[in-house]
Amino acid sequence: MIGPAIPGRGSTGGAERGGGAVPLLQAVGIIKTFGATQALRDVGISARPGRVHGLIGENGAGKSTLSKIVAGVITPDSGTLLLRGCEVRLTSPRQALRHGISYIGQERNLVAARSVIENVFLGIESRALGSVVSRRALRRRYRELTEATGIQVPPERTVAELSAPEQQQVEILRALARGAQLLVMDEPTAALGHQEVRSVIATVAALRDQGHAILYVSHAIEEITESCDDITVLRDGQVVQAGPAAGQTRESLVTAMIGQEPDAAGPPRRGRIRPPLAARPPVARQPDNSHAVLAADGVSRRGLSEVSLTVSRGEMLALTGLIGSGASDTARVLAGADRPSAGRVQIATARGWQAVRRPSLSWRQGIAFIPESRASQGILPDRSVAENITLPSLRKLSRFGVIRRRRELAMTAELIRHLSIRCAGPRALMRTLSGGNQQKVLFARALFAEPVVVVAIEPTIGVDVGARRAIHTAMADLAQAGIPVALATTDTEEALDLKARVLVLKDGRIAACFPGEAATKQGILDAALGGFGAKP
Amino acid sequence: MKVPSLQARPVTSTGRVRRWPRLARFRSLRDYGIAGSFVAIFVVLSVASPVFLTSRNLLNVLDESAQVGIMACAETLVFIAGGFDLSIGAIYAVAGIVAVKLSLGHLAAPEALTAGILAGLLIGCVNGVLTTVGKINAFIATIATQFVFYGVALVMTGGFLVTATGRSFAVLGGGLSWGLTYQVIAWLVFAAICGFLLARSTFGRYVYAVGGNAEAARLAGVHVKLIRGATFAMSGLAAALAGVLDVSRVSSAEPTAGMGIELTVIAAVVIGGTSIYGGAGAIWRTMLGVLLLTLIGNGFNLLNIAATYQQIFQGAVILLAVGVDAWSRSSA
Repeated sequence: MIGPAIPGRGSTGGAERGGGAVPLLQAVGIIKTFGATQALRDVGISARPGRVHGLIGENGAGKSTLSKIVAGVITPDSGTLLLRGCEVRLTSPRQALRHGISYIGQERNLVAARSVIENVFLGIESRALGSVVSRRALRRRYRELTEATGIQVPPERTVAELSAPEQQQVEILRALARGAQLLVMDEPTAALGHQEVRSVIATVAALRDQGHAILYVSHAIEEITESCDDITVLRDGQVVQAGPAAGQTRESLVTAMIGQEPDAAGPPRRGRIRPPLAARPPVARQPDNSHAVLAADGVSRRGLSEVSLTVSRGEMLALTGLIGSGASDTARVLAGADRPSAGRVQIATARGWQAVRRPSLSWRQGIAFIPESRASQGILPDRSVAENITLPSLRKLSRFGVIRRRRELAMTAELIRHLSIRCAGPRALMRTLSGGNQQKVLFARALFAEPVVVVAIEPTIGVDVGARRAIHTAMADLAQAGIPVALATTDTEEALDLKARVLVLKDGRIAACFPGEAATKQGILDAALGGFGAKP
Repeated sequence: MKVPSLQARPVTSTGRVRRWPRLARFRSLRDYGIAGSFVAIFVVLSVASPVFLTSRNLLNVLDESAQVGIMACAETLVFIAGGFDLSIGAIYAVAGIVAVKLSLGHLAAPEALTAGILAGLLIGCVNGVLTTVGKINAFIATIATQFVFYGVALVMTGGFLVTATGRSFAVLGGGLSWGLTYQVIAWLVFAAICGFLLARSTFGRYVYAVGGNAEAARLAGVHVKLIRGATFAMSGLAAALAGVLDVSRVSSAEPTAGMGIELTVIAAVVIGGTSIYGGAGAIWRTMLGVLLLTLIGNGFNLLNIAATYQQIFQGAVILLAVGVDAWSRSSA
């Protein structure tokens, strides 16, 4: 039985319904900030044995942060964790596990090359067996575990051979083998298909029936309503609704997640504010097939099925959806970063339509790409700003393979001024710049290529308000100049701010399409969550 | 073939300690450590030995450095692009044997020597294809090809020394009248080419990008495999050039030539401060690294220090150089 903390300053999670037992774990008054972003503002939650507590909210609402705090993965700035009524400080997942709390995140933490049974008992073999590992005893303990939970994974299989939900089950078994009583499951179904989601939900139910407490973090409303006994809704780092699942409907949860009036003035979301509307030139961005520039035709690959779309001249197109919906995968395929297993992507060039195959060709075909992860896929931290800007377009700057450096410095200095990139100059090393300015450099890279179309993934994630505004303005300018921008974003506000045509993806398919003026936050979210948005 | 000996940078030299009062400043240590060490040992040897600063000795130092230097310049490109080439010693041997054999087979000396160099280029391409298209770890792949190429060298010679005839074959091994040898000129020209490519050409930019962040480079439109493969091809070419210079000097080739030379080359690159993790480095660093190694060996001889200590210093210097690289990364 769960008694979720009611919202409000300093609340201690009153409102306990039924069952008098002390909660297994209770979090009170949790506050956490990351830099300028306040991720959690005075939040409470509690978990009880034999109950599944769902934690739901939009991307960035703070649910993942809260779950990590509960499991000791990160420590809060202030607030208290009560374990069976006694205050504890959890400083690491290891320590949390000693208290019976296990975090099962989206990333697997297994030794891929070893067998299931070895992984389950890794490091705790000797507890039952002395210094020599007895395979028979291990097998017996494994059988006990699987019989108790109903989880069936062949013990001798190599972990690498298992499917994603099977690996997750191995991780659950491993937690249980270590005596975990509270399982914190952070987006357990994020990368899974429909059938696999069913199996996760069944596992969760079995664990509950066994008397374990489960904190189930998800943004998928159907899963939450189906599998949870209690539900806490987070928005902008605050608990906006908490209580038993009975009596909650899909609609009431959506309303709680996005707020009563999405457009009403409220606390700025994740520290961001919207760019002033007046700053953006009003442009009509209706798709026009006669001016199609980039087209995907029945594109499928892992995570995508039969996505077809066109990007037209002067258009701003936003691909959105929940994390794992396929929006960023679509953008990657459009840019040639990934190859589709079926279907094709083509770009209109002076010599007719050409297939988009790989980045080394697609940049030359006029596709500028701003990848998702700035640090791992975007920048060269130990090279200069100028080199980072010109890397894809060196042909324009060189004669017989020799770079004209003076010209390079002059042109990049011009772009640095134009985008007001704060750095010591074009020769400054990339890693000396702030995240927002690094992102602007990637944008400068796209501009420098004089592209036919720009494809960007989460171009404003992790950047400050000023940089976000500058990037939005630059994208609007591009579109007005006739160069279309296709961006993948999980930030609904971003798509709305840019007055983009919005394509909503769900489970790797296009779920809905909204022309610029018709897009609303409610409509987009409905479609993203699997509701009743307009069919494309 | 003479392999220059390795010795420690004078860590304890007072000049260095004064310039870097806190060892915590690893970045500057990594950036300029090689230059400081080089200057320090140069000054120490100038003072300690009256023979050191003679043009004859200095030309001798350059001559001793030349073959390792040629290979080290190309290995620098391989390192910066994120690769590793251990097979250069074997390529060195094979190229020399090819040149000698072809000259015996009635090919004129210039053609035979050129053919030797081209053989190295071809072998380098094989390494490049294996490590990029074949996706085999460069370290393992070039250990394997090293075995193969030494085996080829044995097959070609039957295990014996092969001797070239004719004076024209030995021309490359000579030099100018005042003591500058052709192999030193070859080294300086090759280093200039490599340095120019790295610093000024689009190819150089791609090399840095590929080694610095291969995925970012790929997404920015760089043909990662082509660039990496090209650095291996250049490495093969350089090793063959050095091997051909060597056989021209002694007019004979043997299948065991160049054994272990790759370790000296790699040590020189690393001591210069080029990162073993790729993405950072420079040709001037490698030049100083090569010269530093030769200078230390030269110093051992001039100062009559027992040569038995050289190997101990070899290891210490390499550990220090790689350590500084690692520490500067973790503290950055």
